[in-house]
Amino acid sequence: MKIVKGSIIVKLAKPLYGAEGLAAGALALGRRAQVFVEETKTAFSVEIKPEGKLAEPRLLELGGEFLNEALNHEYRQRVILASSPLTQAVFAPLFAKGFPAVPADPLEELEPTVKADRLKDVEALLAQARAMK
Amino acid sequence: MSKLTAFDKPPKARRGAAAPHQFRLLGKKILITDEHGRSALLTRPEYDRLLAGLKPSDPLWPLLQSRGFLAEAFDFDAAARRQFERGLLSWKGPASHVLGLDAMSLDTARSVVDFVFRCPGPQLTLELVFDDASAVWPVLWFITQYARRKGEWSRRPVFLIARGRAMAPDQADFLRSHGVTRSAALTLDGAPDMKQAPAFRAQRARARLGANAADPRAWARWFEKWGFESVRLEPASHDEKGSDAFIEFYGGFLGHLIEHGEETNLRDELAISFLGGRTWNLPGTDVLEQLAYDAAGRVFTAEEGGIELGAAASLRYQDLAGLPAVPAVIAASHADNQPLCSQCAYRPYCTLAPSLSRRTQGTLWGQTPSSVLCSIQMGLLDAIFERLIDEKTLLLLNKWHVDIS
Repeated sequence: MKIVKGSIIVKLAKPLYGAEGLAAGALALGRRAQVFVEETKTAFSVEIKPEGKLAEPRLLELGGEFLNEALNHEYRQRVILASSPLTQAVFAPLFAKGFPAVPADPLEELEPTVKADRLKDVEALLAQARAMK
Repeated sequence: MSKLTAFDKPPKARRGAAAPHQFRLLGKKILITDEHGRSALLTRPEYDRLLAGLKPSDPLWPLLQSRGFLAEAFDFDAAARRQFERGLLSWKGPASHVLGLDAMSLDTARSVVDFVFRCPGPQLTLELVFDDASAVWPVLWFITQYARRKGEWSRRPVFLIARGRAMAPDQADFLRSHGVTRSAALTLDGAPDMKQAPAFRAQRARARLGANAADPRAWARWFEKWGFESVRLEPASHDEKGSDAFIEFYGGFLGHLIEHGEETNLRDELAISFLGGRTWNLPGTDVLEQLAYDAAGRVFTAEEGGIELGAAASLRYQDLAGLPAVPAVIAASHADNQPLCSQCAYRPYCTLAPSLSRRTQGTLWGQTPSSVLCSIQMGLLDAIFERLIDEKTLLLLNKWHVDIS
């Protein structure tokens, strides 16, 4: 990692680092920096240009943050892949059924006066609360 | 900064002897845990015997067999049952709803409560958060009454918690008579003045450590003296210095409770939530455990740093699963997807709330190797598990209805 004209320049070897990891690193920095990437057959050259001028320690911290997230992302993808049979078994039913809301109250559905009475009750509560102000 | 532990000389293991488990070195002991949160604290020779293959005549055999650590005597039916009971397969919806009341209008309060009751959980907790109850009294009064009625109409238990910094005695009386738990939001600075009463009589405390918080045992006595039933401690900050101070304070606080387990009525909410059940039930876990609402009626994935999901007045609960943020936070909450969590002995007890990771590290997933949140959770769990060998700890957990058998 080196500093050139207020930016961090870092070279990252393939295949350990991929485009997705670099994107994750860039996302972690958010609006604090712009990230430019040049790609060759064997490596990525990344320039991290901070928003505004930063002192050297802060600049290195920013670069470190980028590298942490990029590496963590690559490793996480491997972990996700390794545990996917288990996690898919858990997540698939969860999202397949969606998040069903509580069904309408059968008492209110069958007996319209129940719903009307309850609405009146709530309006009375609201009126009482408004009178407290 | 990772706090995972490793053996200097890894023990030799015979294939098929021990069931899958994670280990952690705790002082001279080795903590082993399984997928479902069963645990045992072993000495090194005991652990070596487990990995080499325990004989049924070994005095350890009954204990480790009953806890599912022996591959040769593994109860697959029980494991499947526990997986269902403790896992997301039995998730019914977020149980905890945190409402920020300061400057909330009555109409907004009504639409937020309506949204909460569209969530299908078998029981609902509404935590009503404010600075001074007097400033939000009409809204607090209305939500208490309305949520009670909605609970009766939907035939579901509803737990109401009023958490604030100030509350007048007549307001506290009203809340008590309506079954609302009063929770004091406190900042602990220095050592306590035992004569200084809290701002109002509360059953619970959410106590954030101030930068100079000291003497945890005296603080525990202060909470006991003023009739608190449970305390949830929070760190002053999420930096390294704050986390070390917090873990040390927590150890002292828990130590006091364990030493005075027989006479104290004070409970430690952190230990209870870590050991008490399901990781997705841990306070603050986005969407799975908690949804939060601000004064404008906007819905968030969590109270602290949560992602906005929409407006309570127009958002439908059934649409949550389709919002991009929701699968993202749920996947990020799942320890199997996290590099270090997947090898951590505390995985069955711990979840880092993605919203907190986002706030502290800029990413929902967090970066566990350098995460202060991870260090804090591991430090707290160390403080708990180091003490589990003590009979007094087990008695105290029993008193808190925490079953770790």
